Amino acid sequence: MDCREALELVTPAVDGYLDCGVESQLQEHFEKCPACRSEFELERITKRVFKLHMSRVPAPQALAERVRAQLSAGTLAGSVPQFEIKKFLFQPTWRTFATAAGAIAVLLLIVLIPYKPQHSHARPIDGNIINQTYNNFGEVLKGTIVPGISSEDPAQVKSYMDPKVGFRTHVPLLKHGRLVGGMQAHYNDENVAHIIYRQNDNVIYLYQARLQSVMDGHTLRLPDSVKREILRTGSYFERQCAGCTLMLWTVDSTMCCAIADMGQPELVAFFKETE
Amino acid sequence: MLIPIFPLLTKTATREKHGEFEREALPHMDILYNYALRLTGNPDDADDLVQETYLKAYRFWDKYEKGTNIRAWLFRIMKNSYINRYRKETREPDTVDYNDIQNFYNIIRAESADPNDLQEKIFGGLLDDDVARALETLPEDFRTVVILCDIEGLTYEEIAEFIDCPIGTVRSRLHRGRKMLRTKLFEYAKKRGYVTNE
Repeated sequence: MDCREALELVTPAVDGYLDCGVESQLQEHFEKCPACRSEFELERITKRVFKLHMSRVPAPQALAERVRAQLSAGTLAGSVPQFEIKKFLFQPTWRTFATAAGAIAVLLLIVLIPYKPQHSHARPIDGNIINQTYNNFGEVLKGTIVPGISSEDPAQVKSYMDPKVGFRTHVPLLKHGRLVGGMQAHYNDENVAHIIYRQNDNVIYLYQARLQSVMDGHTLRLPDSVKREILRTGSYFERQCAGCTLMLWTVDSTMCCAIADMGQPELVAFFKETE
Repeated sequence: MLIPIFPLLTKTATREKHGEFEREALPHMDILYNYALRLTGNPDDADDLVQETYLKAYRFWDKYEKGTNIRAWLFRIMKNSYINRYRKETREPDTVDYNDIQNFYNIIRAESADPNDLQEKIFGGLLDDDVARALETLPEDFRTVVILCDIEGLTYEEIAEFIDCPIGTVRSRLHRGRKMLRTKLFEYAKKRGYVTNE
């Protein structure tokens, strides 16, 4: 055995992969060659030292819970990928027929009933936070806005969000709603927060930005009439689409804009009744 | 009034997929977390990386071939996420003297042949942090095989599957990775004054 062959075997020898025959040939070579021997011994020592200091760390329990929550939030928010429905149709079970019947029923209903889009939330992207809220709500329902943190614990969400956005987010613990999570985003150079709640099958989306930035109107802005309304009454409501309400209000120095498929009194009550 | 038959059915499918995914993929969180932790060098980034990996894996769950090595599949998703997000140019440090430690070793080897004694003499004073830092200096390809072999205890075959390379590549990367590692460790040990060969 020459040095080139021996050096090839050094690593498998360290990891215990060599059978006895090859192993003893290698040892023979080491007797004659201190350079190869020290190469082997040093690699063995390195492995030992490394293992000694680098133990396996179990994944934190909180992380496991967050991943689980995120997965359910992702599915519940309606992000059912297309392929799944396809796969489904090709399975010749009762479901195939039920699905087909369901699809036909839906199609018939769409044809028969004058079509009124339930969530036509597309608005211009212009820094007007009302438009942004409508747009984002559409994205949340489609499942494209996925929480950066998923947690039902407002304190946890706040401690994640606040340093990221650089202002104090408003994340109340609500009596009739479950917190899903939040994420940080920015519009141009302004940080904004998305907070998502659920109430049974309803998604409540809460958009937040620094009040001062909205009032200054450089990047984020509001129409003057809306600003006046907020200054006068403390809040502003809009009911532009069937069944859904948008509500603007301020909490300390944070501007909040909530939107959900529910009536105005329900939405007000939703945020009013904290625990 | 729309009768929500269709959503109900897709919900059942979603639930099935969800259950399957939880059963198959989530039990491997420890190996992913460890790899993420050693790769990024900090728990927060590791958390983010694990979350991102699972969300992607869930999204592409139909692409996973049932019965194949799920750990390797998840691992590859994580590796790609890591590359997209954190790729830093890590090159082999070129100012390091690879022979320094060999020379030192040969000197102390002459005094004592007991491997434990030698190990103690060279690396005895190192802290966990030193080793973690040394690992971080390794270029990613080398770091990966060292982590998988020496922390996770995977076989060469498994590692080859994980990184999608022949076994020969695994072996040579391990060899070079450990060589870089020991050079770095020796450097730290000297800096802290644990080793005095000067």
